[in-house]
Amino acid sequence: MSFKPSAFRVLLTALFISLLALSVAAQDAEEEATEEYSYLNPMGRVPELWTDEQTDCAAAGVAREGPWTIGVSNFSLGNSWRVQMIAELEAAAAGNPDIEELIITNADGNVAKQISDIDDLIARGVDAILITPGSPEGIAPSVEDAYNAGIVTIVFNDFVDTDQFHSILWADQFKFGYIGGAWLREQLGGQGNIVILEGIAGMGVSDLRSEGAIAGLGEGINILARQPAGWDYAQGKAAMEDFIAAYPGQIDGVYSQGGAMSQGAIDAFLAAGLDPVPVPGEGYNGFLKYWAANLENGFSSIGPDEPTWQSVAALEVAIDCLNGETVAKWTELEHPLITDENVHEYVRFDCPDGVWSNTLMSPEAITEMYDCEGTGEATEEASS
Amino acid sequence: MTAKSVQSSARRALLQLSLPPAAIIWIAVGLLLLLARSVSASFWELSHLLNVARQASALGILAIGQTYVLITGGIDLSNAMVVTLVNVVAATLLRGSDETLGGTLLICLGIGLLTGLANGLLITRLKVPPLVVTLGMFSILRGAAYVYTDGAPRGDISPALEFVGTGFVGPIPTAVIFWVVLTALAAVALQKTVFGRQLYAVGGNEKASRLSGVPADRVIVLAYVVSGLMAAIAGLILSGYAGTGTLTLGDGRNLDSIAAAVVGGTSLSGGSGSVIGSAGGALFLALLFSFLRFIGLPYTIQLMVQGLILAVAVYLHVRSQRAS
Repeated sequence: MSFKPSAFRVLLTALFISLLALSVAAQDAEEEATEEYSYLNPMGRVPELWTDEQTDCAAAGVAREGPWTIGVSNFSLGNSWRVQMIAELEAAAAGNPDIEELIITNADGNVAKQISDIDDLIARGVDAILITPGSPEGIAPSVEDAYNAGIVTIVFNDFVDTDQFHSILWADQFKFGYIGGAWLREQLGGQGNIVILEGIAGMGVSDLRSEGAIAGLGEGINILARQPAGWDYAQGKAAMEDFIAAYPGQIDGVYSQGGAMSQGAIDAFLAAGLDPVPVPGEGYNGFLKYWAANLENGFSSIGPDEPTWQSVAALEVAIDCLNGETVAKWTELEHPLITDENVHEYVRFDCPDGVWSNTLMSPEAITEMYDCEGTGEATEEASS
Repeated sequence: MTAKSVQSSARRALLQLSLPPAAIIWIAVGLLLLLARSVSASFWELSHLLNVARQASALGILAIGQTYVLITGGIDLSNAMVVTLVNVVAATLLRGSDETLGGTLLICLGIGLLTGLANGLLITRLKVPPLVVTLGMFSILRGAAYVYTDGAPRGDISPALEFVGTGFVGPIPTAVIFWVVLTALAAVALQKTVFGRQLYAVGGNEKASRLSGVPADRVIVLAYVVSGLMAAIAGLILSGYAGTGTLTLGDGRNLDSIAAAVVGGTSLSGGSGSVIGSAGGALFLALLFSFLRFIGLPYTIQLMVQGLILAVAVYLHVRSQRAS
């Protein structure tokens, strides 16, 4: 029998070669996908209208000689993050001799009250106004009023549906969610079942974080259930207790939007006598304490952090503008990333759970504010 | 269809028997358990049911006080903020250790007692409507919690209190034991004591009760004091569960406690109600919340279903009261 390359054999070789090529291509694609999902290179969603536009405050005619009166319209003091955000601002303003007075209003979570708060601040003739909008649509006319009254108008913490202000500072909430989602995806090797603990349904921050997380989690992750728990420890723990019972042995990971919920989720696993599954967190000290103390036991997490010092960043822009400088109109604040490697730099074992560890306040100021037991020095402490 | 007709004939039978309103809610609890069982067998895991009972216990304790107040024809919206204030005060004073436990408990119960006393006196002496007084008190206590903490709660809860909030005695959660004991005491006080009968008399017809020599003002004040004390105890138990101080611990619990009492057969217009019914109401609500989460309904639908079921439950009570 002569050895003749039959058509079959040719076909087989061709098939083999193409399979090889395909697998190499697939490997490349897989690598690309991993790249795309890396939480260190998060996908964001900076709004389309954001540009490199600058505001020339001198030309806008809003620059003034100091000392200044600065008004702040804060939407809510409903949790310790917001309280610390305002405390950071007060600490920064107290150290500035050019600031004569800092008038802070608190709308108590009520958009109507925030509108009248801003009216009041305009009427009191403040030189600059810092606004954390409670609703992008509802607060827009008030932001425009302040802007048109010739007051330096700085928006931070959330969006507003207008471009009539001098500067806006915002940390991308979609990116916040994406970082945690992509990290969880890596932990689970791209597949598994998870549950999601969200903030407050219908609130911009909460919705964007969930959207980002789902994008970061990708296709292979199955979402068993999602539940808003208000970033609250007790609500997060109660929801997690139900999920553990509803999906026994099925939950491979938890995506939590952070706050105290991540700690609540972990405690629910511990209370049920289970090892906690991977769950991302945030710079909330209660969570960081558990994380740092259990690193050696193999616990790992990630904490994209919403900076409490963004109020100080907004104040600095306001001061630059009052001094007649040119400022960036649109500024995206980066989320500092807390990781297994640097969690010890953030945690304060000597402080209560409610501390937000990513702060510009001095360790002494934090100690005083939260009545910590230590001074903030040498906070590493073995804890079981 | 058959389940529905069984239910409706059961309901008719109930009405003909004119069962006490409290019985209806316990039957509803049973039906909800059966429904949950048919949807998911793991709902009936003992550990889960005990968890739900523990989730219900703080609400149940709040509902005891709310029931006393509702029977007098009043309402207590301030109890939620007693929970929050007690929580931040306890965390601050305890600082994670049992050393100051005794004093802390006294102070926390004192907060509840004084709040109830102030509510009761304002309502009876100044004749301000209970809704306004207790709403105002809610606001005052919230302000107090913010002033006390500067907005940043300090400290941690102590091990003993954490045992009350999260621990077990045998298989039974500690919090559930507190709830059952307090419910039993409150039920006996309501049914078997002069004070209990006076509560119903004042709520049924305040003028008539005064004419027949009931010290109506004292009875009303006492009802608010009981509500304040129950709120303080619930606050301590919830503090043990949360483990730390937070300014949101009481959020929404005033309306939940009213809902628990009302689905448990207590009338919003005073004169009728029972602590046993309210206990069933609290358990029913906790089971319902848990069940809706359990089956993974989207949150928006959960809210609608919750509202709908509460409306139906109250409607059934109104009908049964009309029938009897």
